[in-house]
Amino acid sequence: MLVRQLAKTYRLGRVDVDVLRGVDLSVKAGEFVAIIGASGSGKSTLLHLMGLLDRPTEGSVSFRGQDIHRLSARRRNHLRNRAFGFVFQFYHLLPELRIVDNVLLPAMVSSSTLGWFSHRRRLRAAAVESLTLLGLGHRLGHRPAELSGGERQRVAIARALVNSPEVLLADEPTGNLDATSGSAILDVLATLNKERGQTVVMVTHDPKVAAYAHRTVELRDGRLRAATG
Amino acid sequence: MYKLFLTLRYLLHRRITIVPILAVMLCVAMDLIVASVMGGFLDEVRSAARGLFGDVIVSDESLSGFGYYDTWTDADGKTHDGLIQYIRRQKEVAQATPVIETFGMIRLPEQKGFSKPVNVLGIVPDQYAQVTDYQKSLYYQNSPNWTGLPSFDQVPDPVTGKPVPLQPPGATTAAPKGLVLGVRVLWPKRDEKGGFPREELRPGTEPVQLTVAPIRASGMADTQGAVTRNFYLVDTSHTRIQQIDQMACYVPFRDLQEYLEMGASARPDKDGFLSPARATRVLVKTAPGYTTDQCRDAVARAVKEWKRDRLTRLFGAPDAARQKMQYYEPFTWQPPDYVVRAGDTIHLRFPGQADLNQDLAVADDGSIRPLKLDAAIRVAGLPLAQVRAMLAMRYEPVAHGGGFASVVLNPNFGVQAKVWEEANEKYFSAIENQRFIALLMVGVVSLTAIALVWVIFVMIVVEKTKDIGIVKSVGGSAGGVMAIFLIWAGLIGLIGTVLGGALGSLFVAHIMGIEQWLSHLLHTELWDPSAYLFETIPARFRWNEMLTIGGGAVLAAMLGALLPAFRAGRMSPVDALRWE
Ligand SMILES: Nc1ncnc2c1ncn2[C@@H]1O[C@H](COP(=O)(O)OP(=O)(O)OP(=O)(O)O)[C@@H](O)[C@H]1O
Ligand SMILES: [Mg+2]
Repeated sequence: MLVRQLAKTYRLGRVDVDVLRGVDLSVKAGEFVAIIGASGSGKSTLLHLMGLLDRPTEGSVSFRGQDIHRLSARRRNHLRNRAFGFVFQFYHLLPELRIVDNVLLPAMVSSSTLGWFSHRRRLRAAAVESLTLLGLGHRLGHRPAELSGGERQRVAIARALVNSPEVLLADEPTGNLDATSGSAILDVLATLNKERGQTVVMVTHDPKVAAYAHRTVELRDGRLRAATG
Repeated sequence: MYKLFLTLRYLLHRRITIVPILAVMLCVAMDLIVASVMGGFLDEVRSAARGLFGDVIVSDESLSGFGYYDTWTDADGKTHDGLIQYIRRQKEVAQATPVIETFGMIRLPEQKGFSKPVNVLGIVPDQYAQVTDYQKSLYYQNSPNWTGLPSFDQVPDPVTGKPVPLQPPGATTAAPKGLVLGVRVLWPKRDEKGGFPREELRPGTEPVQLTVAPIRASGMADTQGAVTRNFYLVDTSHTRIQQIDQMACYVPFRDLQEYLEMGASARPDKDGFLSPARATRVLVKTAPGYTTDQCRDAVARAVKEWKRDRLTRLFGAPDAARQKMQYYEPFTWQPPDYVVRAGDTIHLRFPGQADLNQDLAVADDGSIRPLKLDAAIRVAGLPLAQVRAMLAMRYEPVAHGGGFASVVLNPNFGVQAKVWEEANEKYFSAIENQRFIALLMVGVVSLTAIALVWVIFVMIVVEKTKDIGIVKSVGGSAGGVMAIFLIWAGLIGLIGTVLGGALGSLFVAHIMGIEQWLSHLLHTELWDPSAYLFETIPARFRWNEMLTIGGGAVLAAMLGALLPAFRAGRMSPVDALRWE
């Protein structure tokens, strides 16, 4: 994955806020990269641009040699669904859906009604397995509101992984958690990276958290540089 | 796949969905009730009208009537078939009967004490009863003891109820005449028991004075020639159609024809012309096994044949007699200055050369194509006299001696056969329009349901913004997100339709019970039969109407949700996720 000269400018009334001013970053398959930076430095913005959730003002994000922001809406939806798995700081689960259905959501999005009914068992079994691995095997039928923050974040990770994405994009996955549940989540990410070779790009403001990654880059003044210290 | 799944989850877990469902339900129920009542009303009018007029009506739509409807005798004393005979020869026809319709005044017996305008129908009662539901509307002459068909000169025996000759007490005439009145002519309102005291009336004892004025062949009413005659009331008629029950007056056909001077002249006038007897209508009953349309077509064939024969006779008549005859003919004979139009028919008759006779229809391009002549001739826009001259020139080589006669018939005039519906088209289309307007109004009210769905969906989309962001972040497309809300709205429409359909059809099924209960509760009569055509509220349920209304409701609900759903589909994922 190659980020080149990426810029994002927000327009607030008459003032232009340049959040990103030419970010370059390259992420290799199987890498675990951490992006650190002060609050408001534009970390989330960068991650959103990499995961196709937002459009850049300038620059490009290449994935498998293609400039993904120039693809058709259809192709972009497909990449969001298959190539990228997103874990948000605030979990973002659907409150009306049971845990297991939340995890299955990306799989549902990508299947036709017919396809869904023919693969339902297999997909469900996979979802149950990954939830069990994350220690939530006994809570499948619960709704997100009945879970703790750490549990919800694990559900969000299971959801991000259900379609076996090439890149996992995690935005402050531990931001709202205490130290214990936070490190549990980070262990999960590290294990995934080590055992399955899962590419992970993680955003955090906490250097201790960033230590789990192979490589840390820092976002400052709208540009990336190798982390100091 | 996720669209339906999410929609179902939302539908089950969001309470707010109940509000538009209730709104759709009420609108559907209201639409259904209005459609059912108006439709029931129309159906009742139709079936009542059919029972009153017979299946097929032949008339020239004038009050002066038309001649040669029945057998007639020419100046040489020879008898010829009239229209009724032509019609009865058709296998599709069970019975045909002449009717004269006019307006008149009656004076009721002194104790009732007032004069009233009535719609006078001259009928041949036994035939009329075979063609219409006349007998069913009668009281005495429809009782089980009454053997046979209705009659004007018979009354029930006070003991046995069997028909005996009409003999009013103190009547001086040798042959007293009977008459039948609509119930509401005698009793405009129902009594406390909700009925009419029909049994109180002793048939054949109450004298009634009827006054009618002749309508001349030219179509003018002749008040100088008005006649007043005494009748005895032999029965009352109750059709349950308000307008008819308060206006109907049935009298013997021959008598009315005589009063209106519509009978045949006894001897020829100085031009040798015998004016024929006239009727205003011939009513026809379909034979079993045939449809009314088949019967109408058969009657139309008979009418055409009869007109053609009449036409042939007309050309043989001397000019002076022909001038008079045209008043009585089943078609309109145009004068020489008549301007020929497309759609007219020019009839050519060659005395002594029948093989040349032909009927030329003026085509849409205004031309005719005469037989035995080479080219088409343009005639539309030319006066009849000029067309005649053109034809005379062309026919000279083939027609030897005597010349020829021509006449233009306008096909839109004259005697025509119509099914009962067409004959009362104006009336039915008025009711149809009323129904349409009522449905339209209800439809406009239903627009508020669309507005409600719209408002609720604006709220729902705002409330679900974060969910929209989530679905989009995992690859949901704009169309997919839009579909979630549209399916949701569609299901709201569907559930509302099912509930509203159930509510509405229950209401329709028990409409009279509900009316009575409400009337009782409010101490007033809600359904005043005198204000409407019928005595009960007509209502019936139709699946096709239900499906149309339901389809409309589903579409309307989706329409209401369209804009919010479109907005939801177009949201960018980050903006949606960021939304607080
Ligand atoms: N939609 C938007 N409109 C205007 N400004 C925005 C928008 N999104 C983000 N910003 C601004 O861009 C800047 C970067 O935001 P971003 O969320 O990327 O920061 P961050 O590094 O993730 O911060 P934090 O660590 O607090 O999550 C902030 O100043 C924010 O106010
Ligand atoms: Mg952030």
